[in-house]
Amino acid sequence: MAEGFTTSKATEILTSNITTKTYICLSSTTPTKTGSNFSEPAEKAGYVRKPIGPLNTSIAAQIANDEIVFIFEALEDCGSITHLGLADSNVIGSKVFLVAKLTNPLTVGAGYVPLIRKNKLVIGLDKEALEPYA
Amino acid sequence: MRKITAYMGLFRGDGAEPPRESGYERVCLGEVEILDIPALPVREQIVFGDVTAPGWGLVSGFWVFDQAEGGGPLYIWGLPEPVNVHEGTIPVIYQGRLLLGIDVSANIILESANTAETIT
Repeated sequence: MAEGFTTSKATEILTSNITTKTYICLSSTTPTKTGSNFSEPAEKAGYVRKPIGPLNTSIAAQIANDEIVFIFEALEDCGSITHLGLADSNVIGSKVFLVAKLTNPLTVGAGYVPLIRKNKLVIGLDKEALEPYA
Repeated sequence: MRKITAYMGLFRGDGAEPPRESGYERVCLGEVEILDIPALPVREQIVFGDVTAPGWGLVSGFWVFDQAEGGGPLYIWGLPEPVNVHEGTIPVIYQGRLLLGIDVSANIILESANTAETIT
């Protein structure tokens, strides 16, 4: 017997935890599942945690950024970024609640602006778990 | 007030736009008032496409056109220093400056609906 949330409940879970004021964070190390070992670029490098901004739920049981997000302008070399996190706080170093590996690692040099195009940050629940209810 | 369909382009030190075969094309900004053109680079976040080989070279400024290709520019801005727009970047006119964007993407699927512990 298949298990899982209904798509409407899954969407409700996502939208209640990820809002326009959820912050995008970047890490150069592989975080643990508790959110520790999340190494963010230095504040003096221009790094900030950026609000994700408007969201869309155009695909059932998924949430995505509805506008391009310019994360920060690197004032100095920030090395290789491999992971992304989401947090409720914009305080650098405070706990993240969700961590993920980037599709491709990024080398962020001085003068670069990591950005996320519309619909390129997608968070969802496994479709196979939702199939009986989709 | 006269309106035009505005297109933002870039120019290099040689006075030419970057080559189309390296991913360059003018960005359509839609209908704008002629008198609003000077504020466009500051008011809008203008994102160009991905730069492919061999890159776009040293970009020296921006132009506004009223057509997608050809024609003469209606307005020009020079950069304080040229910017080397190389392959793999996404040129962005952001608050009046030309920055090099790099793409971040992540597809986060939480495995099974009963726990967030397994993340791919």
